Amino acid sequence: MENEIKVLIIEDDKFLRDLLSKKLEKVGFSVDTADDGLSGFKKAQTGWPNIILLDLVLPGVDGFEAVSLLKKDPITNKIAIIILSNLNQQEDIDKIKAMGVSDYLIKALHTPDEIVEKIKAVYHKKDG
Amino acid sequence: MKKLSPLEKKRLIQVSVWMVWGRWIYVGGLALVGLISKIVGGVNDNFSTPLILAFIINAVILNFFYLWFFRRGERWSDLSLRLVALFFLLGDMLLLTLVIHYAGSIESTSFLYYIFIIVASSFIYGMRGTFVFAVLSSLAFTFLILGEHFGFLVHLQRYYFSLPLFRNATATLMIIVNVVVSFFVTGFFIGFLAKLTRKEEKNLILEKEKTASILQSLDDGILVLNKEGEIVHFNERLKDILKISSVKEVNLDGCSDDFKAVFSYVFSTTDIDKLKKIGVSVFRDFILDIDGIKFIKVISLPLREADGITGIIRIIRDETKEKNFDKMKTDFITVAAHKLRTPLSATKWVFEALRDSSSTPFSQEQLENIRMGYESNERMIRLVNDFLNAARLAEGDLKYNFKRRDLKEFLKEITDSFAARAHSKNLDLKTEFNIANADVLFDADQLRAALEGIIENAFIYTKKGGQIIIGMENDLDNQAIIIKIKDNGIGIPAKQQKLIFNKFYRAENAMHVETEGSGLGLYLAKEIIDRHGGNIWFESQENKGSTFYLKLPIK
Repeated sequence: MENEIKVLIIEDDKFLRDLLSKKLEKVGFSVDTADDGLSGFKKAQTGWPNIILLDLVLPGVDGFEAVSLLKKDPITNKIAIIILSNLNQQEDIDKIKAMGVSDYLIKALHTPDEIVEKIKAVYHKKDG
Repeated sequence: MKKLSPLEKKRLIQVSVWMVWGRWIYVGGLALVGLISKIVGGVNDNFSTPLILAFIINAVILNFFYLWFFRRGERWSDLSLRLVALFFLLGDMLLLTLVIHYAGSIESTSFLYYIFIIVASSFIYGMRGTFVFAVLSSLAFTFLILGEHFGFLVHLQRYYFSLPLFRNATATLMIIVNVVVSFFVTGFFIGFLAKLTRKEEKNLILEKEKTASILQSLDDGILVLNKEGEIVHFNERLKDILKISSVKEVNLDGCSDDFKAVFSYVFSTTDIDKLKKIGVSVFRDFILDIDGIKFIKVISLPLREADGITGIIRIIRDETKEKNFDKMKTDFITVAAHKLRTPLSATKWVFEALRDSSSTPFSQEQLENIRMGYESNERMIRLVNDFLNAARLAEGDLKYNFKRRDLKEFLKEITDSFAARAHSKNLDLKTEFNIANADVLFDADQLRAALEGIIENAFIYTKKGGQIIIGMENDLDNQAIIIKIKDNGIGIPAKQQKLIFNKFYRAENAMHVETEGSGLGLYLAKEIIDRHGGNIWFESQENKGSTFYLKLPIK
């Protein structure tokens, strides 16, 4: 069942992106990646992921703008978004949560295992 | 000639006006004696009535002129003021000498009025001036008497004796000596007094000018108000900081609210009651938007005088530079800490990947190394987190997300997360929850950070085989919950207990055990508990252990 989950990782740090995509592929997800907000948004429009893992600090179109683009577009506005960022200020968290994202994870405080669990939880919640 | 300072000029004018008032008295006295002698008759025959009237009219006109002149003293130059005052004194000396001549010279007692001129000169010219006027008066009087005695001046008889006084050499000499000596004695004492008072006055004036100049050159704005809110004193810097052209007419129309808030506070006696009560100072911060954001601190102090607090002193300080500098510092820490987080996350994930890689099983030793690497990285993440939180606290923008939750459940979760570590360090981790459940309003993330910091300390500073007890109970009045974290570790040395909640402070014995702590854990814990309206304290004895208490109100 897990191999049905298509995840799009939007993350500008190559090292983290590779680590995470390897981990997600290993547990059986199908993974696509993007390194900035705009290319991420385009990949979301064409690739139909189930879940987007989105960083907030990104070159060009940042995470906040990417969420508003995704939520405005009728093709992408149903895709669940999990924020994966190192910003842990309550204002940022409140702001982005109000925009309709499913969860907010802080990189330094969550292991890839926990991220996998969150993806599964969000996916099943949405499904069920 | 030295230019007069404003205060000196004011004094000269004041003294001159007084002199004019004094002149009314002696002109009046002279006029009265002259008129009585005419009415009674038999004396003063040689001083004709028209001449007396002419003298009186002249003196009165002059006095009206002096009064008019000195009352407008501020308008005239230093030189005109000084010249008119000199003319006043010398002119009167001449007039007086003439009057005495007509009144019978040696037979007249009007020489007493010279004393007025000598005294008056002392106030304007000091000791030296008094001496000069005493000499001039003596010369005028002596010239008159001797002139008549030796016959090159006409003597106008006042009284009729068989041997007129002015013919009697002994009497003439005696009177001259007496009068001249009395002039000098008067001059000496008055001059001495004048010297003393002038010196005091000068000091006072200097002191006053010094204070005024210090106030003007301060970098802070100063405003002094009396009880009624009237302006007593202010300096130019005040206008600079608040960007106003005059303190007398502050126009608030069209001003933004932040301006109105500052002005209505600064220029009113708000807080005076508070100052009366507490007696020290009150601080208020304002943010103003004038050519960019300005941070203004207003320090209010009571104005104390002999009869208690008579007003309020406001010190208006522009703290923009300092604030910006502070912000730069905290911004640097924030940026640096954020930059560190990405590689730290990566390291964390790499260690996790290593631990999970089932394809190549590691030896026990290798696994231990991986665990240690992971732990060390975790510590680094916590440090960076502490720095970020401390930086945000400094900026005052740490937002809290208060929610009502069961505190017992929450504390149990946290305690459980330490179970594995307790096991590996061979520590006895016990819970003593003497409470059913406790609905408390708190920020889960912040409170977790505070509790984890304290429990973490208990773990680090307790030796293998030790015991940690995490307890929870109702406060006596059931208004608060007390969380207790007790260990039997190294404790805190009594001398250092006071400083333990300070930023970056670490106890000496703690540094021996663990070299790397940031000294921020307890500082942050205290800030967090404070923000919850709670209390944090501890009991500790070196080498026996520490117990930390966190009291959270049930709101």
